[in-house]
Amino acid sequence: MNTERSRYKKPSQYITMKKYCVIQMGTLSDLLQTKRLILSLCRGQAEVHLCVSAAFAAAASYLYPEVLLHAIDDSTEFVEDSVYTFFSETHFDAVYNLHDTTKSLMLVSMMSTNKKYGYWENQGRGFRSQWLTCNSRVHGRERFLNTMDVWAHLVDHPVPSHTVNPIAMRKGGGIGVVLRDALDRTLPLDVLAGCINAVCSACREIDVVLFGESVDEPLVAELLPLLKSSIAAKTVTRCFDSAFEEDAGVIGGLDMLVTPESSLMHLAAHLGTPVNAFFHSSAWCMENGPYGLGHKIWQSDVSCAPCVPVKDCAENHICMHVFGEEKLQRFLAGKIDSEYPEFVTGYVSMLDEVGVTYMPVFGTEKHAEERLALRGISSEFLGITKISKTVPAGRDNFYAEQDWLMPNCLVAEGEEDA
Amino acid sequence: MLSQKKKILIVPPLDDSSACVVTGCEEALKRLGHSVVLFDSSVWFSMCSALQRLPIGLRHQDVLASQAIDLIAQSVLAVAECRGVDYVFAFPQSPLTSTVRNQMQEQGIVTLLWMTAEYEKFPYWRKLIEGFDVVATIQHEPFISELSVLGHASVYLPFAANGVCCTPVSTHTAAEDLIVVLGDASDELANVLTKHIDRGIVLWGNGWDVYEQFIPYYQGKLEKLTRSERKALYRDAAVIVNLHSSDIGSGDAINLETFAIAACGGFQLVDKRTLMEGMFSYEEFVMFESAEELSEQLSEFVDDRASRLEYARNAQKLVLAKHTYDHRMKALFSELMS
Repeated sequence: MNTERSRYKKPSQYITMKKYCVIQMGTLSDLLQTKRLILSLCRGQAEVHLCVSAAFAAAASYLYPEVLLHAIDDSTEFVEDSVYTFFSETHFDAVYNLHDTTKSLMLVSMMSTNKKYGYWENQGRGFRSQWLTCNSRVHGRERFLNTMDVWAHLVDHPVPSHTVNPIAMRKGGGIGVVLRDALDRTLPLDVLAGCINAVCSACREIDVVLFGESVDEPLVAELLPLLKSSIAAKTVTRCFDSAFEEDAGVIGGLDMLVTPESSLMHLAAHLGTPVNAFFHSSAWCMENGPYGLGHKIWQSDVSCAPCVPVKDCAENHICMHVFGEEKLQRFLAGKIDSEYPEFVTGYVSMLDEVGVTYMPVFGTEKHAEERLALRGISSEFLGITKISKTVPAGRDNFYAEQDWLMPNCLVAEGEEDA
Repeated sequence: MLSQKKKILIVPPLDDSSACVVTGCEEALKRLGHSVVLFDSSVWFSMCSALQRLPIGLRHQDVLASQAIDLIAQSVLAVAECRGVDYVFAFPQSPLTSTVRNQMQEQGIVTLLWMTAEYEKFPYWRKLIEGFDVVATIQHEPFISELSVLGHASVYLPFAANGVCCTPVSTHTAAEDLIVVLGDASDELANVLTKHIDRGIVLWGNGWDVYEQFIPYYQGKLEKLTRSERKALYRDAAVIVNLHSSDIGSGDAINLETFAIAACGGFQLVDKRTLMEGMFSYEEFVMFESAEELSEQLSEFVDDRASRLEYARNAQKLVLAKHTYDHRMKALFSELMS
């Protein structure tokens, strides 16, 4: 246990090993999207602790072997005595809590630290980093920042975006297909089959690996007859409980992963496997697209999107059916016609000074100007750009007057808003 | 003499309603013949402070803070309307909203901001300037051009000193054995200042308390210094180390302390800023461009009272002759009315 005195810098010893803690009690996708933050904290041989839900401990151990892992049982309201003892007796230079759930807030409240980032509470009052407050004001299709970058920029000067994931390249192992998205939805089977056939045609590849759950066996049985016979004959399925590390082994050797927004999509980006993603309804590529260079996203852009997904969609899931349009399937198959279909925008991933973004290469995108302005404002906020030239007058929903007027009215003792 | 007397509503900062810059502007504008109405921001501070203490979640905080700021801003608007003012003169921390500023503009009231914060350290500036007709700024290019591009009349208006703070340098009788450091810490600065601890040192600013050797001498954040304490400190210290930034040599704008120390007759070692060029010379200020240079200057001047007094006299003379709030307000309103 560190003493109060050890927090002070000594004249002859200004560089001491820093100790940080990241509390990531979200989903598996969230865990993968924490990579840039963790890499940034690990610089300079810092000691980085990571709290994750016990369900994702194996994945965290595989993804971040350099961190000290704390698997938290999130099935109860409480934490084990050993966890409480460790965190209350360990002093961290900074703690990063990425969610405002009860369990996350409980964890951060028991930690001894000079600096808290993300979300925390003090005497019943909620606190949040200003950066997160500003980002929370941007909604819908104006959202312009990948979650990976939102969290990474809680640190001053995070590692450059190009060092996070490898440039995606084909590995020779065929096409992987993820059947379910992060919210357990599948594309209509005829649409999915058409996409698989088209992508295989474009890649001149017929080896396909289907990733699903054991409950997906009947779905696969329906899907296979809809595939070209040559592809169906070479299709294997991984519809069973598999270890994260095993999935990573397979995905890391693929030529491409065809996927909706999913944790396996982020895993493919982590491993440098090209992603060909189909985003619809609530999924928005600017917010949760695959991180790094070499990925494609087909973003459904129907008028009712983005939405809160429901089973009985009043629009009959039009956002999924647009991927089955013949014109789009020709593009997917690599036949670039002069006429591009409506309601789908084709993006490729790219990097800028803030992080990852996506450039439209097929179709026209809406809200591009607003997003560019917000990206410029955020770049100024982060101190990356002094004066952004992409921000027109009066285009600012990133800030509100209380951001700068209220904090000076009171500084709570012992708390430093980050 | 001014050709026209104007009615001006000054809206002081919510968190520091009696700031030196507010008083300086108010008194100067009165001396120039304008009619000044001072909005009482201080009474609203306790309401905002109470809101900042409520044990509530983030969603409620956002709603209540927004309503509180809007209520104060509407109160400013009501005062402006009832008193029939021509100008509303505000600062970054003045309790106004862009909506209220737009309403003022619609009523023909000229909205004027003195942007006394550096834009690099105040990322909210784009939101802040919305609805201001005129933005006076302590920085020059490229900020001043960007303000024009965004549709605002912009005026370069550096900080100034309040002439009434002046006390003749020759009357200073303090023990003069103290080095006063004003500004934020860095490892580099801590390293060089450690060598001078034995001469007697006190430090105000951020970050000094993490260095064990400075703990007994650290006084607190700069904002905690009251006006009378500042005046006494500036007058009585042997040497004042005036740090604009812990990243020495990186900025342009000149801080308020530079003018205030000079007006009070203090001797300062100040990190050089690009906008000092043409405004001050090495006759008035001893400027440094690195931590090492600061250390050398401390060694040189701490025992040289005669030189210190000469610099202090020169600085005071120049500031009182050219850089008081009277000069600034005269320049600003001449520009506005021309």
